[in-house]
Amino acid sequence: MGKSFNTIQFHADRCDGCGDCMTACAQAKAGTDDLAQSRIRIVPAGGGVYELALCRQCGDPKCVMNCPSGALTKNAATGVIDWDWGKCVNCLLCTVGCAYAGIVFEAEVGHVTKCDTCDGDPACVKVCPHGALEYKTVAGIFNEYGDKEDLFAPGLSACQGCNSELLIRHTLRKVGPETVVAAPPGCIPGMGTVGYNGKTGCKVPIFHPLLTNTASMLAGLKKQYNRMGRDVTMLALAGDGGTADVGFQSLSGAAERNDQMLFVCVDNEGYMNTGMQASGATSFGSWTSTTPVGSAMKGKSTEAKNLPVVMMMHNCSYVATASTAFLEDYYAKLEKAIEASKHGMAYLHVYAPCPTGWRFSSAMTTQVCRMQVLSNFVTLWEFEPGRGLRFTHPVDRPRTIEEYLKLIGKYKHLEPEQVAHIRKSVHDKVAFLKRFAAADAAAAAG
Amino acid sequence: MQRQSHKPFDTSTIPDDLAPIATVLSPMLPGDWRAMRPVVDREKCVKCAVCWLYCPVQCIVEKPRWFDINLAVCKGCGVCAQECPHRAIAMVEEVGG
Repeated sequence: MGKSFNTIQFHADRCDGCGDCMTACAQAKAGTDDLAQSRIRIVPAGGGVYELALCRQCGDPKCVMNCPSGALTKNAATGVIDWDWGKCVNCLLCTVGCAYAGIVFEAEVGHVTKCDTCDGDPACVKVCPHGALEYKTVAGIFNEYGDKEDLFAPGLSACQGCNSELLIRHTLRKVGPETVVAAPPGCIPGMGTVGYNGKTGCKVPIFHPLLTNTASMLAGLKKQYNRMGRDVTMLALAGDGGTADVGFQSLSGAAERNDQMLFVCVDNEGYMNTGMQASGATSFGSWTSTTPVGSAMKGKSTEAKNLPVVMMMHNCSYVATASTAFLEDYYAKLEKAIEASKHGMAYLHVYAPCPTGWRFSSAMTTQVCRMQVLSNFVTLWEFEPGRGLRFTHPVDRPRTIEEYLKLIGKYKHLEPEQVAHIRKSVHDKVAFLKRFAAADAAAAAG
Repeated sequence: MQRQSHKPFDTSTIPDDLAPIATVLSPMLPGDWRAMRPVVDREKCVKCAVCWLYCPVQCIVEKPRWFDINLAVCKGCGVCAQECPHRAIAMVEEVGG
């Protein structure tokens, strides 16, 4: 298998043309404030819009193809297109090939220059005050896991853009084949993971327990495997109904006994598989089929339970929240959770916005997930006994809650006082968690 | 592709008084659900793997110089086109039979 590479992403909608990136680049590469020596250029495109002139380190680079002297080569390890000063004949054919003005002649130095991504730590990205430049490091996950077999059938009948499908495919790929999966009623078995018509949807043993007994069934299975002397991971892939509501009693019992399992809750805030009924995890103000919008009711009138905190209070071996927009964070947590599940209960609560039930376009799934975190509507943290609670992706300057809510159809009806209520409860929830994190950090230091 | 799964066991060894156990994988492929088809612009692809990471059906396949889509499995959700950092994926309408 080949390799993928990190890349610099430009969010034109966030760029105000301040030029800090160019200054940082000129400083890093030439030790000067002369912007002409910057290898990144922000170019006004009219109407307050800016465009980026920067080497994209193309997969199939035209500059390399055009170069007659072999001075430009695609580095197979880093993906960066390296320029060799000793071989360059200054013919400038490379600049003709590039569609991005990513390699240009610089009169000051007398030869072409181009971005080398500062050896994987680009100076421009770090100084951008608006987050318009982002260094995407997804390549690391692909290079580590991209070649591993997906342990679900290629054809699952989840809705287009389904977050749960994305999540379970990544999860099982990482957890591996020595696993028994339990998928209680919900979208995950509904999409065919447990199979249809005598066929299965999964390449490892998968059970379809009742909503009520997922955790207790896995606890029993684990005891039997332990007796047989086999190291097998017990993995629950449950929805928020199978975790926070109907499945809670057996989960709480298993957590109390600290039974060895990895319990993943895919929280799409409701019973989406059966027609979008509200659950205990449905957020305040949400339209669902059982919390409709009309003259008497304006969506759900109560708050969602904060289940990961409830699980933390069980003192499980590992508890974490995660988001599918932050999969690097998720893979790191999964690694810890798999390890913890060999000794006790590991609980992962993954926020999984649902395009069908929440009423947003399927293409927007990852963006909605991202905005959940960036607006602090959900927070990413982990808890380990003895070490306490730690934020893994703190958001100190959150986006406004309106920016998040406006993406989602189930909040379309919200009135200003409901939005104010959500804003306050988000603030309170973050403050509540911060008190734990601060107390735990102080205990560790003192 | 690095095989992870074990070979399915011989189902004839299951006693008659147990519930049936499925060992054959479901052959359903959802490619024909698609209304919009992702098309990768090979010249723009930088192989950053963002499409692979966020594709819910995990149907992105790696080629030597770009990432492509397995259209037998792709449901056409459009997440890849939305997330691609270099706008190298366009969604075009599926037309004809």
